[in-house]
Amino acid sequence: MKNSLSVAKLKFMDCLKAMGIFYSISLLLMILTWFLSVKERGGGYNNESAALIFLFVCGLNSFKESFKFTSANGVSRKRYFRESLIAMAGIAALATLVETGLRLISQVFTRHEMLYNMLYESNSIIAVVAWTFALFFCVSLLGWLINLVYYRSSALLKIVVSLSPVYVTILLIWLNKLIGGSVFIAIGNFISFYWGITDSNSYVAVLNLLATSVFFCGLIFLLMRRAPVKE
Amino acid sequence: MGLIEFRQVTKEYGPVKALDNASLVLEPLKIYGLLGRNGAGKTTMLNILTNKIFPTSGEILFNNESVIENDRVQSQMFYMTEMKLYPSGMRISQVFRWTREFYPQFDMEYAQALAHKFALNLRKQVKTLSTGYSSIMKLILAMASNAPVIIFDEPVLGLDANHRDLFYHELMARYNEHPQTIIISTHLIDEIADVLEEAIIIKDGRLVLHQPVEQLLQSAYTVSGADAKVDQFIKNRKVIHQETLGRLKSAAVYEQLNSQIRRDAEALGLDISGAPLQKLFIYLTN
Amino acid sequence: MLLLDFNSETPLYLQLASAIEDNILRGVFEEETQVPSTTEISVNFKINPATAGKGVNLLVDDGILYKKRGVGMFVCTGAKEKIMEKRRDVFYENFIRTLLEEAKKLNISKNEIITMIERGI
Repeated sequence: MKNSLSVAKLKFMDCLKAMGIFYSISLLLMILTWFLSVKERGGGYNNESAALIFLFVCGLNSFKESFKFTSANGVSRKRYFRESLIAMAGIAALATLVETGLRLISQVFTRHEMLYNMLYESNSIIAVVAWTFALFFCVSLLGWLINLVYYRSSALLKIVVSLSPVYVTILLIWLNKLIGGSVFIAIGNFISFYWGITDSNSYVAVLNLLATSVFFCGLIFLLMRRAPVKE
Repeated sequence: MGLIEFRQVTKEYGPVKALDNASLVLEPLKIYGLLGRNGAGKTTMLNILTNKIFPTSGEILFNNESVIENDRVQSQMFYMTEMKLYPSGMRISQVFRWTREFYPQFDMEYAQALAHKFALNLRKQVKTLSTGYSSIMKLILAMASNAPVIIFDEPVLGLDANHRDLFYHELMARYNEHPQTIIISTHLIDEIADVLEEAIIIKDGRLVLHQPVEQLLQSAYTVSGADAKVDQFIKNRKVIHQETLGRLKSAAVYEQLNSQIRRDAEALGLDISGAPLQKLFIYLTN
Repeated sequence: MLLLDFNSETPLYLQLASAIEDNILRGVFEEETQVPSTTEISVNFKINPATAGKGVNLLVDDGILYKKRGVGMFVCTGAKEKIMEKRRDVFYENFIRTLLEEAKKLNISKNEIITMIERGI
């Protein structure tokens, strides 16, 4: 039992299968776009946004089933939490690796525009890897967190939570009108600070993403701590 | 010294007390029956023991350690639950392999042998199993887990007569060869009584009694004869059950039989026999 | 072999003990031969080994069975005689009394009973 990492293994294997399918399709699409872009010249293919969504969904889907299964095998919530983080970091790292690999390969054939290049000027491979990993990790945690919020919510609370983006948006629009547009400007400023766009430094974004990840982890931990096992 | 100890455990769901100040000590290497009607609190008790849910108050100890969020303790127990906790898309063979990951003592050969005896197809996916076969899969996991404590919640749910018989047979064979602490929760007392060493009866979240089955069986008797005589005899006695047929009457009395009672009955020309277990159980749980 | 009546209200371990005795009397288990182990009894009848053990131990206490370490349970020399003696003691209580009670209900006279017994023997 000690350090066997069976939970991490279970979760990693679970995501790995999905990832295999995802990248088979990605590769197919890339080859397809490459053929098409030969004629058009200069058309880039951006796989990262798709990967981002994939990791989010992975996080979203990987909680309930594995939590129930490991709990049936006497695994504590703490151990589940700990090893799930390891598995998610592993999946994010693997996805980063594959994305970087794809980038290097596809650059040979086509001008491969990465999400990263749209935001920053730097082209250092280390900066790209760090940024991609932090983003992937953070997004998969967000998926887990959202799923966990639903898991812990009663039927009524589920509806409240589902509608939350709607009234947050309404609230913001209303506030913005009230203060004369300064709310949206502040949000804009915050986004450009958060992503380090202001001074084109992707490491600022890496730090902010990691801080957000830590924050998500804290919330997940609190929600996991007393989570009942239910069907 | 007890292996498992419940100390004044209460579980509340809003105003409902699913478990009400329950205290209980279980010793190692015995077979316990946790008996009670549906909704009596049997499953709540097991879910708390295996940390699926948390108690509202009280302590649950395993070898003097709290069971709550305790991996070392939880890996000593295998809980066959009625809940559907297994990934629906997983094949049975994979379920076996993953269970071995978590219970390294898991006996794969034995599990496969049992699967063969019960005709459980290992290539099937969890979601395709019928209620009976779902129970069978979980029974096999529990029996092959080699955990020091195995807990069954309604083990024979959905099993046909042959499979029930096979289960009791295999359970006894395994237990004789390899004694473990076993807890079986069920409402089918007649079927399970001979397998048990001790019975724990629970009603409305409260523990009604905990005693050796043999003693439980002897804690009541039946008198029968002419109705007037029977009525005379049962006056001031705890009567569990009465039946009349014309002028004939029989009554089950909750009281340990002794020679004085026999003489009293005889003096009135009444017959004495043992009490039907099911009646006793209904009396204790109703 | 041993047949237990699970619906009887007699405690199972007592039934088990008397079933083994019956089979010793009938010569199924001869003196100094092995009887089924508690494990075999437990598994075959699906009863708790503690119950099976209790029945067997009752016979050990009565000097009818003895344990050979690591081998199993054996029938003592003189067990048959002992069982016969023990059962003779309760023969009147268990059989004659019920016989007489029944005879009384049916108005069967003493002489009639004796005639019937003689016919049976």
